Amino acid sequence: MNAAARMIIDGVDDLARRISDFGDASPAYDALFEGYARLALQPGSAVLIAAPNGVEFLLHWIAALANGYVPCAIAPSAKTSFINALQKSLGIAALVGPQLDPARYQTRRVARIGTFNAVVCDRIPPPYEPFDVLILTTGTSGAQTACVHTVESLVCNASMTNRALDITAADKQLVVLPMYHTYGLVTQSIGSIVSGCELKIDGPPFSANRFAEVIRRENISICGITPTIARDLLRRGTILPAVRSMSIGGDQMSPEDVRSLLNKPFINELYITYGLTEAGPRVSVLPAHIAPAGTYDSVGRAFSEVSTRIEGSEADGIGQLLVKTPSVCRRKVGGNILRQPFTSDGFLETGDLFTKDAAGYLRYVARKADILVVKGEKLNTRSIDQVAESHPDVEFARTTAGDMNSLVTRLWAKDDKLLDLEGIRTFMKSCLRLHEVPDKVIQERSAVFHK
Amino acid sequence: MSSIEDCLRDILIGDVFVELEKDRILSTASLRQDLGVDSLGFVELKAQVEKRFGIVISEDEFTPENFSTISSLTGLINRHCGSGRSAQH
Repeated sequence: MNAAARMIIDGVDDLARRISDFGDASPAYDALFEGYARLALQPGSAVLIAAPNGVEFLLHWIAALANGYVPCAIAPSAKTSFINALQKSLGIAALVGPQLDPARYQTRRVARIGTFNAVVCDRIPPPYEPFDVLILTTGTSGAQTACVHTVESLVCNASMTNRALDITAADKQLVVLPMYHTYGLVTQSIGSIVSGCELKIDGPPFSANRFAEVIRRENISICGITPTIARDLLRRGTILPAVRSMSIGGDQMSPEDVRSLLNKPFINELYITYGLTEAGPRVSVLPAHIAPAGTYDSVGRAFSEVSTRIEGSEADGIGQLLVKTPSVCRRKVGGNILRQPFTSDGFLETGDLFTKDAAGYLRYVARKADILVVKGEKLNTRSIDQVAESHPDVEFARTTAGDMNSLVTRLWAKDDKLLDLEGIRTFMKSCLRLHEVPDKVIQERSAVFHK
Repeated sequence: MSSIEDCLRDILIGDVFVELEKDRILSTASLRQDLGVDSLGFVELKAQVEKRFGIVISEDEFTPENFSTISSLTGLINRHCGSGRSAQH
């Protein structure tokens, strides 16, 4: 066992004293550890944990890891069809979550671990190693891909973030973002394990008033939110109790939004961060409260341990951002991976277009891939198209952003027949997560069919 | 089963896409823990409740307590509408 895994596993008793949520008391860690041991999976077996934010989720994640299994967190709202596809694509050996119904996974074998059900799907030869961690990319249905990290790489990234944001044991951190995403899991939860700070976990529904109330009542000093939430707080004119540090990671913040947030007396330190799952995830940070105003349109500079360069830039300086980081994933896995996203000299291809100025500030320009951010959630339009195209009447689909933050899928029928659009939308709903379901489905005629 | 609870089950299946048969969604089941409703799911649920019952749920009412179970959400709707009110169709 490496030092990073040892730190997390041996520190779980101390952690249990420092974390809390707003639900019922979580089961004891030892009982969870024994529950996973009773599954008797081979070391390196992947275990999918589909659970809402809470102390119990984090203790399950650690207990699976401590047994030599490979935890993989997923949204509790993930559909059975997606989980079944993941099971095949990633070689998942067991599923764990509240109220899991074994019948949906072609098995009757179900065990109880804590308050969750555990379903063993397949005793396949494990494709991973003990103390690996699987992190799904974008969480989009249809794209059953993940990054294989090690605990070491995640601890390394959380440590870099802690140093950049000056998070210490004296802090109390609030998690409101989903813990099945890297920000909630790595940056905040593992970050709290590393720093020794207190961790308060809250879950949906999120509201600005409740956010303010929890910060006040719990004396929170550190919190992290998405740009969507930040913009909503600004729009509502929400007044928060003072926090030492607020960090914002996700899609782009405008310089005006950054300036508006800095004008709020309750934010002492404002950090804008950039990251991607493959990198572990955080890559760069802009400490906006001490940064020159001319950098508010950037995601700051890379951590000191991280090297970056812009690939293929021309006169405008725009090119793909390449990153070399000690927290990079070992590899990507899943059905659609044709090649690993690494250059021959060990840089990670981010798939994001950036510029980099002489002082090292990185400015986001666009995404290379078919990724959209709709209603604050990242989604892969190609995956949505693939779900639509799996309908027997659909020849081709193309999903794009529509008006008012909406999602529109245009369909071309096989043999140019008239499509049952409501039926196809229902079909898509059965496979996709809520934010991926198109608001509008339109049939196009073959005359405008361009692949 | 009250008409409000019945309507909430329809919303959970039809609009929030909870994967359970209607008669297996208990009034006391946790929307978050047992039914897996996530952050966007709660936003959709709130929007659909407002639309179908013709009410406006304030920020102060959009809390884990009010949105804990079908029963607690029914209580909130009743406080807005007066008990016995059914959904607008």
